[in-house]
Amino acid sequence: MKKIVLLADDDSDDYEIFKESLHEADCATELIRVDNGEGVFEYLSTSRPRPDIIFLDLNMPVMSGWQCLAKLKNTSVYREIPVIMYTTSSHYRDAEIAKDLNAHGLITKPSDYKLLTQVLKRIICTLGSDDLGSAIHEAYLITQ
Amino acid sequence: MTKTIYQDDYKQRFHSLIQDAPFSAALFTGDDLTVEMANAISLQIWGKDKSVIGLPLLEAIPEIKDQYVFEQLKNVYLTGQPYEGKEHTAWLNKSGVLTKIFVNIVYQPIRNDEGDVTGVFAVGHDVTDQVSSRKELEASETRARVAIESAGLGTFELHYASGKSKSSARFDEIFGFETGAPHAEYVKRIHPDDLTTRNIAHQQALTTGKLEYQARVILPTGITRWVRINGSIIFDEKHEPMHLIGTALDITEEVTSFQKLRESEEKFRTLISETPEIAVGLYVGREMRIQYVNDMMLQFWGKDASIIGKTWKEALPELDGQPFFEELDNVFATGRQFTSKETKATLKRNGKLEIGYFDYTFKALKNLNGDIYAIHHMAIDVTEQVKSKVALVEREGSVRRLFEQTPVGIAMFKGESFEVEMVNETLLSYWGRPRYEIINRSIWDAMPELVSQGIKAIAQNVYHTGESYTSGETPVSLLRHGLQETIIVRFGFQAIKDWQGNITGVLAIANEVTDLVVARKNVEKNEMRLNFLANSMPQVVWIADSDGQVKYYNDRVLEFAGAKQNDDGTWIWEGILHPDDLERTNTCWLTSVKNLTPYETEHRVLMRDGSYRWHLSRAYAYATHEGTKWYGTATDVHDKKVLEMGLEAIVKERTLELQRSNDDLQQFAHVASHDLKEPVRKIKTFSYKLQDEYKNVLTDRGNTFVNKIINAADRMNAMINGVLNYASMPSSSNKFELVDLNATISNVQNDLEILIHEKHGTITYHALPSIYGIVDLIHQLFYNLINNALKFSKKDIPALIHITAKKTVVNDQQFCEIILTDNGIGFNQEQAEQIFSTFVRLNSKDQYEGSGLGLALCKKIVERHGGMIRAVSEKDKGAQFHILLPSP
Repeated sequence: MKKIVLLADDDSDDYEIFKESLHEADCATELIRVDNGEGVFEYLSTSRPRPDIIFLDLNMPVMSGWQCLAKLKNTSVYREIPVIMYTTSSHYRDAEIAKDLNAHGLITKPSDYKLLTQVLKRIICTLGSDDLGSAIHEAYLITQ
Repeated sequence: MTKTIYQDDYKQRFHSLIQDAPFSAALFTGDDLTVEMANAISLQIWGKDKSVIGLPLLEAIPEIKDQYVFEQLKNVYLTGQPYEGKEHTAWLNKSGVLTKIFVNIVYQPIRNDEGDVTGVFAVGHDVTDQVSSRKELEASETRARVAIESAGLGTFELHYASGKSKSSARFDEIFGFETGAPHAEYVKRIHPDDLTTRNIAHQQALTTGKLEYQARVILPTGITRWVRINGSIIFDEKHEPMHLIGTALDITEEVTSFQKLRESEEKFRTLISETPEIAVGLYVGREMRIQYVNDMMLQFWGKDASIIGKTWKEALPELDGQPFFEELDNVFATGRQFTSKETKATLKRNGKLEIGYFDYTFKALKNLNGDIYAIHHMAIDVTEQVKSKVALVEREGSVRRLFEQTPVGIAMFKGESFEVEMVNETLLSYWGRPRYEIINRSIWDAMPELVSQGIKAIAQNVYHTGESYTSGETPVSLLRHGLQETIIVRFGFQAIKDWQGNITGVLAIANEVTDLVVARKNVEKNEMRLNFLANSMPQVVWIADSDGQVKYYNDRVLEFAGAKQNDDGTWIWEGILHPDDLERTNTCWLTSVKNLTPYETEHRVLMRDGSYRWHLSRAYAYATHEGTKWYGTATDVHDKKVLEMGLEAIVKERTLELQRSNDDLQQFAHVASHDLKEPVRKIKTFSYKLQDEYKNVLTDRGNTFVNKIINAADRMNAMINGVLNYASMPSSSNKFELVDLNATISNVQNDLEILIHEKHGTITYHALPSIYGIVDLIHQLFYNLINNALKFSKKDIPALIHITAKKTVVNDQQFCEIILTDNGIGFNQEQAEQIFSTFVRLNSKDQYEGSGLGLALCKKIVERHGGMIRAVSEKDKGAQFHILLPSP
């Protein structure tokens, strides 16, 4: 079974890099990209397969990553989907906000795409397992 | 003989049984209570040695004299009644120190065979320790104090070592203090002349242990009192003075009466002359007690010596209703000498009331303190002289007397020439001429200046027509005592007719009113001047009555709408205030009028031109002879007020602008943090890709360039982070709270986990305190410091970071000093200041990356907390950062 990864990012370059890194991670995944938070809900409202994990950029037009996160966690049917904030920011405060809003974690967009490959591989592999939490925390520390 | 045997027997028994008893036992024999025997404990309690045995008790223990325990002992000896008492006080001189002890005693009389008391056996038990329980002691002291206070004695205690003193309320009262004061303050009240006496007494007391002196005390009211001070000094074991306990007694009455006695004796020797003409008396006190009168005085009074010692009123009851009692009392009260001449006194002589006339003086006598204590009276009988004078006066006739005594100037002129027939003293004083220059002369010759002033014409008209004339206030110029002076008089002329109705002369009556008129004119002039002054002021000036009714405005009120001028030139103002200010003004004014507090308010007044202008109104109440008056002003402050209000608006606007610009800045910081970093990150990402995927295609040189791009992008990223942190610092949360440094360091450790791992770093700290600060900034501070320490660690040695903290006080403020020590590369101490400046780097970028902003930010954060940061280091020897942060 392919894992469905949903990425909300309005930056095409970042999408390219994410896509390539995910491809290189060589996991059985299908990447779906939307432009902003609203795109996330549009996708979820279709009958297409439910994502196994959602990556949210922070700064997006129409609906930002924070707004989207809050809405996801306030909607009971989506609450259980793991959400990772995926951002340029490396402020420790953002990591705390993410935690407060019940995100699974925060990853700083690394400039080294190989690092991203590593991180994604570990996260995708641990999806659905108890190790997901520690995998994301490691990712946070590595990408900082 | 039996007696001796008995005693020997007793002695033996004593020795065998009691010598080593754990209580005091002693035998006293004979009338002088000779210490026959005393066991070791007795001697110990008495503070004496064996040499006292065989001595009479009062020689053995002289200090026991008059003490209760001794009195009782004596009593037992005399009465033969045994005595038993508990917790008796005894003062015993133990090696030179008078020591207070408490003893339980049993006195047992010892009798010979005949049953006569020959001695007393005393058993004592020192219970000082038990009794000294503080409460008991205090209670007994209180009782003693009450006794002392009720005797009018003030008590005091002075502790030599501390200089502290304690005194009773009565003592304070004697010295004129309402409550206790430091010892030195009491000394200050002592009369300067008696200070030496006091100091010598105190000096002597240090050797004798007894303080005794008398001194004057000057009370704050200025009254001088005599005080006797008694005291005793308690010495410690080394005979150093410890306490001074004493009493003060007001002995003013004693001293002054003694002084009076002495003074009066002295006075008499000098004052009383033996001249038979002069009567002399001395009366003491306000009630005029006759202390001395000479024979002459007795003769004047018609009394005998039995009246000496009585008061005036008792001795001379017939004088009641005559002025003398009052005069005497007055002299006694004021101290001013009273002299009287030819004064009538009705005296009862030999049972008959007789009238006499006397010249006399009453003179107040003062004691050393300057207080009046008596009156000295000297009198001469002038009855004969007066009687002959009175007879003369009575012959003159009563009309003439009336004429003379009138306080109005009167003159009678005779005939057409106006010959001065009569003129009284009053008119002469107006004219300023002696009688002899005027009398029996034509007034117009005697006082030619009257002619030119038209008075002759008026007078002659009266003489010719018979019509009376009365003048108004007329200025008349006169040559008075050789000086040209103008007086103002009201005068009248009236024709004098003989029995046939023929005019024979003119009666003139004149009343000088110069002073009155001048005073009135002055008032008018003053009022005019004040009015001018008021009108020349640039403010509206007004005066209101105590009820708030305005009775006067100056001319400035003309500028106000609703101002009207009365016929007499006074103004009334039916004022119009801006509706928004009306209620406030009324409240303010009525409150001031009610409470007599100064009135001050700002309000808009409708002006004549229809505009409202801001005025500052002020008024103060003054008590005048016409009651309370309010003197007020209204000052036009319109321009200033408008300017002020304009300024306020400008400040408000600028504040808003500043707020906006701050918001903009934050917006910018936000944008920069995300958007500026974005492209940098991408440069790096794609450079990495280039490096990875095209490494083999690129030449070595090309690969070097890619490396350089990556390095440059890294630095740029670091710079952006640094600048952002630095710039956004002031706008971060302002909330000061308790920050647990242990948690902060732990968080930083988590954030820096990878770097710590890389540098094989260890951070040690133990139970750090909490400080008072802004959480985010404190996190940033330690993040930067620890990050720095790790970054600048030596290449091949594990990084060790040690953090300690201690409390410290700087400028009276509690701080927490945190010391962060590392084992890194350090720096030269000369550079310790520099490292906190922005963009200062001590090491090459190639070796150690960094934005050059980390420590600058640290400094900014610490300063924001009102703290301090400094660095101590030596090249290659690690660095130490000292940080002062506010302690909670």
